[in-house]
Amino acid sequence: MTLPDERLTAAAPRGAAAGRARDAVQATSQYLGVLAVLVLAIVVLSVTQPQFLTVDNFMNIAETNVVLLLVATGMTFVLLTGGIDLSVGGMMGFSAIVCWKLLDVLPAPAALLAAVAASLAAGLLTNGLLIGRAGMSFLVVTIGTGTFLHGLAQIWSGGQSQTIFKHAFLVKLGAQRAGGVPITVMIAVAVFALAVLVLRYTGFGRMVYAVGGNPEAARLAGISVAGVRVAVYTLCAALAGLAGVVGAARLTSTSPDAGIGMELTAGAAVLLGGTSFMGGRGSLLGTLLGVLFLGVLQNGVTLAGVSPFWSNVVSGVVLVVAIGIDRLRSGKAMP
Amino acid sequence: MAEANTAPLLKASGVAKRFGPVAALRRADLVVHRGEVVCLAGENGSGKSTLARIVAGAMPPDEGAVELDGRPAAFGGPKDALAAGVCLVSQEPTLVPGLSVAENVLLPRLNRAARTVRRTALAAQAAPFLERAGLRVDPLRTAGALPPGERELVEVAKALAAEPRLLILDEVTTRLPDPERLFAVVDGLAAQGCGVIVITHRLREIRRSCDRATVLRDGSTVAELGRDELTDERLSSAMVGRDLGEYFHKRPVAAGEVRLRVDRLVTDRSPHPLSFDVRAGEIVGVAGLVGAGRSELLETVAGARRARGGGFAVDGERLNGATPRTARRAGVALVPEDRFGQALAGDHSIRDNLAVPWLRALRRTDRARDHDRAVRAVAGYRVRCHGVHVPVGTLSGGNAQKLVLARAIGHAPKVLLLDEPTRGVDIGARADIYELIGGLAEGGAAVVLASSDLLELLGLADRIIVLAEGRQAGELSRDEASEEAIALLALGGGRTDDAA
Repeated sequence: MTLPDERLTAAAPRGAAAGRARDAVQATSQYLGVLAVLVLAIVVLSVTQPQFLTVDNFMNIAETNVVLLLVATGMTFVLLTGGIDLSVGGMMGFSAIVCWKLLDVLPAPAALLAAVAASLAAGLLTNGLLIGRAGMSFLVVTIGTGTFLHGLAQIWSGGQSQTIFKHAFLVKLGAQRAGGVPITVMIAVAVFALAVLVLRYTGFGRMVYAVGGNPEAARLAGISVAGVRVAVYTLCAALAGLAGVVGAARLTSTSPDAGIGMELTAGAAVLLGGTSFMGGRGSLLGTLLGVLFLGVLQNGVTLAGVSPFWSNVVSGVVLVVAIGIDRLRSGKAMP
Repeated sequence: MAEANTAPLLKASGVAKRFGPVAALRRADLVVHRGEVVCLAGENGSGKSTLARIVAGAMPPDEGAVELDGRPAAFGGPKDALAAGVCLVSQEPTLVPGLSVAENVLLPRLNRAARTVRRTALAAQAAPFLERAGLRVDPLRTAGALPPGERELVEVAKALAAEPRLLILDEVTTRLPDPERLFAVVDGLAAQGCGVIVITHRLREIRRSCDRATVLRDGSTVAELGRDELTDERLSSAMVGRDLGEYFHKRPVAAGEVRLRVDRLVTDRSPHPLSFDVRAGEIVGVAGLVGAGRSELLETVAGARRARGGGFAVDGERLNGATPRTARRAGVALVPEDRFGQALAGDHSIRDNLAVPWLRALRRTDRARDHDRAVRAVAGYRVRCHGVHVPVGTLSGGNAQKLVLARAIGHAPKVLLLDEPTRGVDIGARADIYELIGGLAEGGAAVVLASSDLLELLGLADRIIVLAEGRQAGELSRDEASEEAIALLALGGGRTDDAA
């Protein structure tokens, strides 16, 4: 900012590679904190728990966190625009119960897809339009939507868990492995990879960042801020819906309460991964690390035979400390 | 003003401050005596605002000493500084948008005495300070609802309410339509023995109001100029190390066909319809006091606000119900008034900010092209930075403004709307920006320039439209235009009730 012109303009045109490398370093620093605690957790568990460092156990970790990864992926888009979706828990129950209802009239694969489509439509019509178009508060709208959908699911199911054990397709989907890898994990990884590509390499993905960074500037630059917001809430709803049916298939039962608390767990995973609550800053890679950390922690607590409630205590502390570190760093960088 | 015999009011010596790899201040010295008005001059990024913030306790220096009345002033924060009578009106807005004007003005006092607050009593208490600052507005109005210029006056009133011994005004006048009023206040404060530091880019204001000038360049104090040395030439050569030269670009009018036709347009601000044409190659100035509707006019034509009536056309094509997107496609580009609020995302890199208007939702991004575009803009527009990956929030105002311009001009607009394009921009960057604007007009664009800097309007515009309270008060050709003629029209029929 205070150096002479020549040095800087001379430094700049070294080509895209240098800039990209710098970007990568900068982006990495955002989730360095979670990476450090993840590595620490893995090292500690590897040393103390003999069963921890096995392929089987890692498949187990992956499998138990498929639902969380799907929801957190959608949530990352929303957080990047500066919002949050607190309806994902209700949406999961809604999707699972819609699927169960449709199993009476449709073949299982169609019922599953229809449930995801219903979630997408519900997200579009409630969160998407009310927040994106009507400009209502995302906190109010998503809490309302989540409660509303949870209620609908309770009414349709009588508030009961419903078994889907007789539907071979869903049971297979939830339990079968291909080449040792659970199908549900494959689905989640494929969705995640697609999301990474969308966020990094499409105009839409960059618009998500632009809207989160400064919505007014994005609007004046000709970006449809409303359209981007509608899109991210719709996307998040569809992924929550997918998570709802995938989770039901894993448990071979559908419950209106399947997603309770998921909005906070997924939000924690995204924030742990360095995505800013204010929007505009963050990445899906960070979200993946956040999900892995929560998963490894839960797994370690189970293996160690400690009360499972301790994992919540630890993840809460790590979350606040991670955000605190980020705050200190960005505070220093401010002029 | 005479120098006091005792230690100076303020003595800052050898002040240094780094932000990560960037040295904002290297070795800055500044002395202010009681009753003295000192100009702190320097180009963008020379460290003026950083020095001001250090003096006002908003951040500690890395090195160097700040003394008040000869005693070391180690402020723990702005609160300590305020208690010591040091008050900063900063470039960044500090108003609480949800509180009333009166509550904002008295905020430092509310802080001091935490007792119950009666709205009407507050209003009465705040009224004299608002009056002194020259703002006529209902003190019970919500501060966030005021236009930027009036908010600035609330900031000034807030500083006055703190009863300062040392007042620092950082680029305050650039947002004011009538700086003279503020300088009268400054004169009054100085007469009472208050020291005042004025940061401004306007040379005329420096000559008008300051006893001395301290010039910063690249974070160090490079010159001390006395009253009789405050000439444009001396100041600018001290600031940039080169001569003022062609400050303004007067060009011959080569007006072509009508590019922008504004036809009985009613904006948010003006109940009265506005009509005018801008031809290819023309620069039309828009003058008026704060609240006259300049920004609203420009933002409406850019599609950022809904027209309440009438319409406008670009190259004969009417834009009905324009949005920023459709206006942009029709060839309209806006450089908005508030560059960090309305144009840039401070956290994002130069490269990403420049890429925003080119994004298409369903198209692949091309990082290499984005990078090249940014590198070219940085080199072509002489933006000072460490590379295109740095967050734009770390750039100084003038450099950030060059990026906003680069982005607007990159679309080869038919109509370029400029709202205070050189607010808070130093001479060197100004000359660059004027050259760009002139060049674009010569290339056949229609340029609308809204500015509260009359010299800028007189220097650049082929015609000047004067707005007063949302009405089109008159139009002046280049030959008719003068500061007096503009001021006369801008004051309208003499009516000044603006609360509305």
